[in-house]
Amino acid sequence: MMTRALRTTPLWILYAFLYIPIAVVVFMSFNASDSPYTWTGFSLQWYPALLQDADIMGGLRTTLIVAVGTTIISVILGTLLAFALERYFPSRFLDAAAAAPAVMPDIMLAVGLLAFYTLVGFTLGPVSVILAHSVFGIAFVAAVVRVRLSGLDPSLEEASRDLGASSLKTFWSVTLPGIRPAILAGALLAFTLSLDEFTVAYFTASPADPTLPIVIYSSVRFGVTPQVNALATLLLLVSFVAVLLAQRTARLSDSLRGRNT
Amino acid sequence: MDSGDVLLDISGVSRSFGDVRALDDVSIQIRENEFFALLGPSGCGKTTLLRVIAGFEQPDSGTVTLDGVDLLPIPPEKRAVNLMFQSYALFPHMTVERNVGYGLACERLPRDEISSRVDEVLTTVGLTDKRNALPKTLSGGQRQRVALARAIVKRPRLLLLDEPLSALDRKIRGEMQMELKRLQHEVGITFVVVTHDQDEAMSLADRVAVMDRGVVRQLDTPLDLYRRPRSIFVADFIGNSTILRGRFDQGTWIGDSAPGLSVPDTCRDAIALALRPEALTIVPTDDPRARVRGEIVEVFFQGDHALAQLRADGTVYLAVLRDDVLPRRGDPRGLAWDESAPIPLFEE
Amino acid sequence: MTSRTSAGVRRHGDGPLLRALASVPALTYLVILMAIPLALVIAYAFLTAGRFGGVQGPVTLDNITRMFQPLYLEILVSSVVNAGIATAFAFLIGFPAALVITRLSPTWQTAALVAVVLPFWTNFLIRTYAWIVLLNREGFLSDGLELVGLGPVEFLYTRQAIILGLTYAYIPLMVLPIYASLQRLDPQLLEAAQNLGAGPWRRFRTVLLPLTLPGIITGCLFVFIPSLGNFVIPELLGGGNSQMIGNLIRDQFLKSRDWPFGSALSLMVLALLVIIVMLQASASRRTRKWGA
Repeated sequence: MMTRALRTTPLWILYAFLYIPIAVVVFMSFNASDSPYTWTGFSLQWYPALLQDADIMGGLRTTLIVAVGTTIISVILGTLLAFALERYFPSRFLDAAAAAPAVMPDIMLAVGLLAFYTLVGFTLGPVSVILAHSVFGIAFVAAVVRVRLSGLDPSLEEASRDLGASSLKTFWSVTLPGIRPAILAGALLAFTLSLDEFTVAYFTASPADPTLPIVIYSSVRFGVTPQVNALATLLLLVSFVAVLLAQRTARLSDSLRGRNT
Repeated sequence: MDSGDVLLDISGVSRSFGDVRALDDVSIQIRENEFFALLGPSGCGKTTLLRVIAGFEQPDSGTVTLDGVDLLPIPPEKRAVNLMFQSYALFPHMTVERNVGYGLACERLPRDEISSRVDEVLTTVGLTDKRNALPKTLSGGQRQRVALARAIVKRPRLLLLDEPLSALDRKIRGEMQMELKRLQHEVGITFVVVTHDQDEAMSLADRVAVMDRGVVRQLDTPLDLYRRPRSIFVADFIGNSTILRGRFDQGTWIGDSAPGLSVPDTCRDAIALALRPEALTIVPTDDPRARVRGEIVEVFFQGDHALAQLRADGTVYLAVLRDDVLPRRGDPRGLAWDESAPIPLFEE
Repeated sequence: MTSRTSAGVRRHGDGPLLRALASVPALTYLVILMAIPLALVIAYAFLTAGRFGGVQGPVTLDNITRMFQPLYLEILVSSVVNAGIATAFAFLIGFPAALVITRLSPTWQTAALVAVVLPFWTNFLIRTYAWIVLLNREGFLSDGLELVGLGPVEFLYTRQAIILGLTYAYIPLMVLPIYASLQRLDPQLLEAAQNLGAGPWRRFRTVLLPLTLPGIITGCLFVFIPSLGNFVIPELLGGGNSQMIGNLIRDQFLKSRDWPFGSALSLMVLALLVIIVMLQASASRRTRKWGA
């Protein structure tokens, strides 16, 4: 048993490294003191205080609009892309193109989109961020749905066609239910991604209408506040729940493994 | 039987995985220069024992010594024991030469000594022309030779072979069997083969330990295992036989089938009798030598001989046919055997 | 790999109209909002900055040569060094952890992987912010050292803090591809090496490393490239005076409005990306040749 515990040490080191900072933030969000570093007692006061903060509430509103918009576009186009890659036009080149948003440094896409929006005269605002976030979103949804699609038994669809169903009817009654968990997981991922994304939003949002991460960025630049701890805790919770749900619905880890090889 | 020097002494070794006792108080002594086989069905513990000897498993209790030195505290990489893996486990990114020289490089031998010893062993296994090939480009038989060369080039005290022939085609298997035997004589290393294939164990080994559910059921020469199995398990596992359960009662055998057979006193404590097919003779029903009478169930033609199944009193007997004219299904026949033919079995 | 399952379905044939309907919108979207913006960045790198932002002629190589002026070159080099050290640390922590994961039972492997990836899916700013709380002069680490008489120490606003932050931000992306390649490795190869007398270091160097190299390079790519382009961590953990390429790019686009120079700097990041991708591709080709 002793040697067994010893053998897993590297993994525990990694987990300690990953989770201790997060745990500290969560812990300090329940601090009564308004000094961010000294613990004086338990308090929930910073959570309701968030509701009073106009910047944060405004950022939250924008972020939710952006995240919902991104999720809708990503799910529809990402699912279609998964079909194109897996069924209709399988090719190495398209695979690479679809994986590009995940590999490309976000700052490249950010400056590229800024340049593009400026060139075509597109006004910056929630819509420009939605369009930008969907580039990532589509790629992730496509990757997740695709894994599921490749695992789908083709004979089910053939049977449906054989029984006289049109291809559209087959899609609605056989294929779609088969890939529904993956679509749901992809939607959750696209939503979380957009919710938390900073760099691209920073370049493509209107200064008058910043997303929540941009609001956090501006406030963190001027130091640590207890409100930010509370907000961070809530955002961590939302992301954790979304990713764990996605994992449960579609064995996400499989597609993550697949994507990176 | 000559009792040469004991090389490997396994004594009272047990190992459990959860509720499963993979090894249950196993004791085996393997002699210098012996060709030894661990034989048993899958899950009998033979592979666990092999891994204990190689150092990849630690037993819960018991001792293992090599040349009188306690082997258990020595890490696998320091043991004078080499292992030929069932899958060969050749390094796919190294040429044949580097694969074979790997173990010597680990010993930090000078480069020219490595090279000359690799040459020597590649000549022994007949692969000098494949020196620079990658394992992927080799045939199954060639890969096995590389794996073997890689293990023997280290001149270990003991060479373990895990199911050495199972990955080969039937045809190459026979060749390799003879090759292994020749090599063992040539290099003078003690070989321990682990196998589930009784033919392999019987034809290769000087002595065989038959294992079942973590226990050594019998340890003998192939000939004695065949002629004098002690248990129903061994009689059944090695060769074909017909098992007659029952008990001895004043010179006769009382059982469900064939009641009242007269048997010798050696069967006094037996719980069953085994009859080897070649000890049985099929005779006409009216032959006075016939001990049981019944009808032919099936005939199997095997080329150089044929086997027949004969059902009598609810028992199916297997017998070698010696006549040129094969009986047909349903023919009534009798079975005759010498009084000394039944092998007494004393355990399940 | 993709055509394997598709053949059976395509035989019955969804009509060409349906196929186009499915494929065209997504691909058009990616062309307009990914390929064209990227092409713009590449093109702008060779143009001249307009007086009030924007770009204009003539075509020039000035932006490229400007990157090699001492002021900028220093930032480029220190960016590459920072990102490189962060990548090395991520590897040193991530590789052994990935190795441990492959030795767990399948159910635990999934759980362990999810636990590794989970932080990556949370807000990146918040994870960086957490380190401010930890590293500050009044923060936990300093307090801890003070207790044993070594503090207070200011960890924040140092180069070490930047490297730590980068390692922390991207280490999950190191673990995943390494895990994937380790999982494909036959564990008996390591036992064979050990049986032949190889100690832990030799096993790592001669068997583990060469056979998992493609995954390792992919992991390094996933850590190194985003580290290079990151401007938040240098700013928040490194303080105002430690800049990396990401900060330069950001400033050219949002502050000094010199888009062509910003584009040239982005192009530099892209060039490094392409180099590593090519390295990875050649390593994978070699591995496939071995049939491993």
